[in-house]
Amino acid sequence: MLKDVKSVFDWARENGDANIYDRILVKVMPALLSKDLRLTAESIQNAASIEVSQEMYDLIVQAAENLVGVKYV
Amino acid sequence: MFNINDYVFDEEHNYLEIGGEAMIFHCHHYITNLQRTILDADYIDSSRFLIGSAADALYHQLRNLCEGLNVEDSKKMAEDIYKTFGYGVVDLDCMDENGCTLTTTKSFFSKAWNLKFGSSSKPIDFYTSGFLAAAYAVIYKKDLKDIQAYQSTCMAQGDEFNTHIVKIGERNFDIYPPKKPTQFKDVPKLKIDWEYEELISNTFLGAHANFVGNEDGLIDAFGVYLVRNQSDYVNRLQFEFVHKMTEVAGEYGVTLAGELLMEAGHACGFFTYGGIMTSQEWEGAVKPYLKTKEDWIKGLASLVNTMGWGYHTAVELSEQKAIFRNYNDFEDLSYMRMYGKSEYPVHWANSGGFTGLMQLVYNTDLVNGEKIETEDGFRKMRRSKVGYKTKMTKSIACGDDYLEVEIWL
Repeated sequence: MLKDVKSVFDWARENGDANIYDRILVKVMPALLSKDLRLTAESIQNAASIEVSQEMYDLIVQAAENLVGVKYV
Repeated sequence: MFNINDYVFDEEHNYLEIGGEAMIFHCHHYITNLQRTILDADYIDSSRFLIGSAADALYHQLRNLCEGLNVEDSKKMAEDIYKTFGYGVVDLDCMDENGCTLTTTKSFFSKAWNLKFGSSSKPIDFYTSGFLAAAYAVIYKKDLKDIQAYQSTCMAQGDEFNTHIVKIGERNFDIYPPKKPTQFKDVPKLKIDWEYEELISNTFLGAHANFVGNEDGLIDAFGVYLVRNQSDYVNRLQFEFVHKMTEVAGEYGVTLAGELLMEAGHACGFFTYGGIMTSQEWEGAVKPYLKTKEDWIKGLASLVNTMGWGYHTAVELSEQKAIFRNYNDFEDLSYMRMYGKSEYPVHWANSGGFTGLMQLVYNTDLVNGEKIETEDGFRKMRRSKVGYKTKMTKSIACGDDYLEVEIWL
């Protein structure tokens, strides 16, 4: 099952550093590469939705929460 | 022992060298941002080059500065440059033939991390570990490859003081091949198209020597803490990070790393240039000559050309689009000294700085006297919908005559 992770990135940008997209991407880069995903800040910005596996979704949420310092709700 | 005024600023190349090392200023916003970017990629063993980059540059510099000095004078020289350059205070009395366990409560890196990001989960003053490894190697004539250097306590993680241990042992940092001498690109310069350039540059020429560490070893200027970096130390951090990211992810790694390195440059441009343009010195010596927003940028370029970062100028400049150049910029010169040619431009800090400057002048009320260089102001500016885009188009390390970057809305 695929999940849309775009809202997680949007939430992180609202609550974290200005460059939070790139910081999240660097954190999860090895996992992204294993799925042949090459997201960039620009592609996230321009996307209406970003469908990823549940496993990848959870990883991105975890990275975003760690970097922002609060729970994603 | 050490006197910054003994070192002559190279006006032709807008460059300063001390003990064989090119020297450049950075602010605490840039340095901490850069270091956090590197540490974020926790699948890379970055401590090896975070310590190694400092050890390599300092070994080279201290070997030159301490030539002919005895042990005590060499220690004094090392203490002096550490403090003068703004890294804090170290007392090398504890160092002997076996190394040292050195404690200090005055560390630029720990203080800056606390100021910028709050508490750290691990020690972050890698520079000082590298510095001490180099000092030990030079003063006691040891080989860098036989030294182990690490930090065991850090004020950035809540400890009362920093502790650094240096000893003979299994080396825990990278060492590098000898560097090439600096090769300037001597081509005709496009001068800044502004009648007051010379006046402003002459006013600030030599002013860099005023930026020396206070009793805490900190350079408190323009609302930021400055450090006078060995250019090859700080630039090697960037280059090694990009190389490691390339090993992990090829071109995608370069893209991601480049974006983050440029963001550190944005922070530098925003806070340091913002601090300069709201300073008393600016108010008295530069502002009387400023009529347009473009003048603000040209005035800043005229001033920073006296600081050792190369010669900044603008080919084209408007709110919509700018093309900036830097002749003999510190990043390209550094890359060529350490690695030779590059297949892609390597001037992320310069380009991020130029972009931060455009945002400051055109996207904030700085020119109308508003003080905006705060963390909140930075976030607000960087989230602005009218952000500038940046493209690094020319780089000396790629064979071009100068650095060039295009910035547009």
